[in-house]
Amino acid sequence: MKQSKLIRFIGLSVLTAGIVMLISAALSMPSISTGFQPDEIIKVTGRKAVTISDSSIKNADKGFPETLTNCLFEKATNVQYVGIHTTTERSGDTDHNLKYHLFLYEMDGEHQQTALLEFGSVCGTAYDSWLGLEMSEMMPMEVAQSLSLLRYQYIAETIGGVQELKRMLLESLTPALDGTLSRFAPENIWALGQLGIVPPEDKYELIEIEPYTPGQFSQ
Amino acid sequence: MGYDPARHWEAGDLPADVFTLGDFQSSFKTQELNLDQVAQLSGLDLQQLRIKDVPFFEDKTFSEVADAVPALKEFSLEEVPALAEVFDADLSTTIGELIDTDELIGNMNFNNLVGEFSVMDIPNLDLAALDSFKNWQATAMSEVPGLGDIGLGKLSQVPDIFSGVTATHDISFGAKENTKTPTRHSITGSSKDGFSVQCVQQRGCAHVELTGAGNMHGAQWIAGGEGKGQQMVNGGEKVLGAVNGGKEPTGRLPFGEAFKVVLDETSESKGTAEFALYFKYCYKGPPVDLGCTPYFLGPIPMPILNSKEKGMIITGFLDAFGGVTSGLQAPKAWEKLSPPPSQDIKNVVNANGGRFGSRGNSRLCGSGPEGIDFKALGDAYKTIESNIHEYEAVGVNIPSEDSTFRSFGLGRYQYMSDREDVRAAILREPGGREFLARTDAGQKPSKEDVSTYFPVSVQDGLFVDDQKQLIQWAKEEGYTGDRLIEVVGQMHFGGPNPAIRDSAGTDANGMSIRLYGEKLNSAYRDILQTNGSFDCGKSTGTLISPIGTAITSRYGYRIHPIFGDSRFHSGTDFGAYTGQPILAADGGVITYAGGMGGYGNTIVIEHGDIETLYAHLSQINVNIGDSVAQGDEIGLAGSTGNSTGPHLHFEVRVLDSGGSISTNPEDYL
Repeated sequence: MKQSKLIRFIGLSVLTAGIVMLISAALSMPSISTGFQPDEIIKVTGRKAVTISDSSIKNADKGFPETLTNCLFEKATNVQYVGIHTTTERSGDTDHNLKYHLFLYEMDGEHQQTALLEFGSVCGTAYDSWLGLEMSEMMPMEVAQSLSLLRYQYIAETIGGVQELKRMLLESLTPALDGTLSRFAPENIWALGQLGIVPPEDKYELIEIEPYTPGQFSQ
Repeated sequence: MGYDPARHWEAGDLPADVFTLGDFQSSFKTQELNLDQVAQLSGLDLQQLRIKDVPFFEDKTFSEVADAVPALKEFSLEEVPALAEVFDADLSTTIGELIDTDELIGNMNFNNLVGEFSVMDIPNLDLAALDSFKNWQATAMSEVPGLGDIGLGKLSQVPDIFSGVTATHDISFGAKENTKTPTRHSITGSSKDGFSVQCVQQRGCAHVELTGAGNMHGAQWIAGGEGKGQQMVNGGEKVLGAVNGGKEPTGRLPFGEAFKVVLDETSESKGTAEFALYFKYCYKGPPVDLGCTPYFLGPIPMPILNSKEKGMIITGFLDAFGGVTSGLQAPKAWEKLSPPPSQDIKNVVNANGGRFGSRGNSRLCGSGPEGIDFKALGDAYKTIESNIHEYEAVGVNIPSEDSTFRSFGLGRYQYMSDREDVRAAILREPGGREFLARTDAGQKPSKEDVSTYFPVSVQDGLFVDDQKQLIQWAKEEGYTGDRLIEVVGQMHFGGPNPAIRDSAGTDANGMSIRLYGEKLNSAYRDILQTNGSFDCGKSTGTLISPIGTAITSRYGYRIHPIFGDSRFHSGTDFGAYTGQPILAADGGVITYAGGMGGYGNTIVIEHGDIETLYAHLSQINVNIGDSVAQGDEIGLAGSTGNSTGPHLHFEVRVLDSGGSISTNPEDYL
């Protein structure tokens, strides 16, 4: 726990500038109408996954907006685009159409994931696992759940289906070499549940999160 | 004396003569091929290939072949005319029944039985995978006709072997071609400069253009070196990084960090590319970490990697690390090709507090009668038996003293397998009796055999006991000082008989008993002077890297790439190849040595306030209670336990009254 807090502190300082820039850019941009209806507040659009073998993705046929490449770490390798989640946030009298794009990548040999926000020609980092926080600590829970679901659907597709994912996951839930249990964020447990995958409670530890509150990073 | 001819590389040797199937088992899986596939890949005509023309079958018994060949035992003699011609039996008898009738039949040499027949005359013989035969690991690729003719590029036709680690050789460009079309997509460079260093030569660089999936399409491999059209880049690390001006040829690391693969020559007219290996020298303690030289020890031509346009080039993953993470295992024979460190390197090591010399083993800790240091003595023998530097070495094959069976030189000290103490030690190992029966019959042991039946700890223990005895005998004969060491060496080489003391008669290698003793004493004194005495069991208070390779996974929680959960990693993982030596990070006492659940084969060393743990080992060289010095070789890397590939899982644990708590090893290294 002590270590988690330390990482969080570092993460916030790094994130603040980017998020402030994103929010201020968002508020200065004209409203973008994509025709979404009130009953489509949360719209999940899965896309065909694109795998890119290294960070030189600017020239790649990647299936996501060019502007997002500015927000990917230069050192990121094996970048995989998982998909997009679209939602709106109201600021004053204006509805802002926010697009969260989820990527998987590797950096320094470790698997990481990041959710990038696209707003016109501007991008921002909404979440990055490198910072040591969970998705639901950096965005509304329903968005985190949706992205997590997208992720598991994407993974399931690449490894042979949901049943295969279920089999592999349940088999893998053994304690670490030193006996430590695997830890799941609440949005992950929710998403797995949507797919009919319910890990036995004694096989994992549920991560206690500090829920996201809008504007928390710009204060 | 004592070297293994099959593994000795001479200029001009064909790779196929040097490399065994075992060398390639983890990378190219050549052992999974059968003769039919080899024929398809190499153009070999199996119909014309006689069994006796396949050296691989030379030492196989009828029974071994019947066990290995799919369904052969179910065939009747009537269905196999070649065998019906040899055996006078009822034609309805199946091969299995025939073998069961008399043990002698099964033990008959297959080659002698049907050597004149075509491979295709034995049903399914062409379909038996090479690894279904016993002892396949020691088979030289040249023993399988056609296999040595297959460029590794052709092996890409074997499914699932090369996914993601290769590219197709599209076009070769000579040195001048590049002046018109500068490189834009180089995948070559160095760990220091990155692996996308473009050509900066005014006259352009020789290079090969590649094609393949994703970013491999249009990628360029630039020639490395100091010659025309070749490029140098920055390399090395720490003190040794300054050697060779800190420069090394541009290239990639598809087989890991032991050596660099460099494009040496291209020919536009022939459309060819020739590759070579370059090595580095590292000194990572004890007592200091001096880093590594650039990869400049070379070039060692590696024709098996050469390619032609439209052929395959092994690039490793485009992982930003030069392909280090590809998991391709380098044939161990390649690493032996490393040129010895130059005097420059030795000078740098010695001038910076290093101890130049080989690392000893914990079982050699301490000194014997007359204060003789066993580690220094073991290293001194090594300088004479220059080709013997591995505990798995297999040496000469000579008749036993009574000429009733064959005897092989085994292990680091090349003790012959007909020695009583060697036989007693081997017989104590499970399966040792059968192993001795095979070697007595003249069957050459594999390195795996030596490792299994004559393990390191046994070799070193036997060495210590044996040398103590020799020292004692030499003392009883009245020898002291230098003469004592000389006589010990003479007895080690020629036996204890005083009648042959100082004999000047030479063996086939020009070595005499007298000369051997003189060489041993000289080497022993040099090593002691250079290294000082070895400290065993004492903690220095600082840790050195237990393997010296790159970190592949760090300590702490990390997200599982598939399941998305966070899993705790209680140590630091280092990249390794199976069999890579693991060193004690500091001096201490072994408190655990054996299997440990998911950790696999594990060693724990206590160093006072902390302990270090080494997991997933393929071999353990120490026992509980042993004292080790910092830098001692305690085991070999592997992939035992819960592991997906060869690596070292290294933990540092802080000891307190309540037990031990893992902590980040990188804080200590």
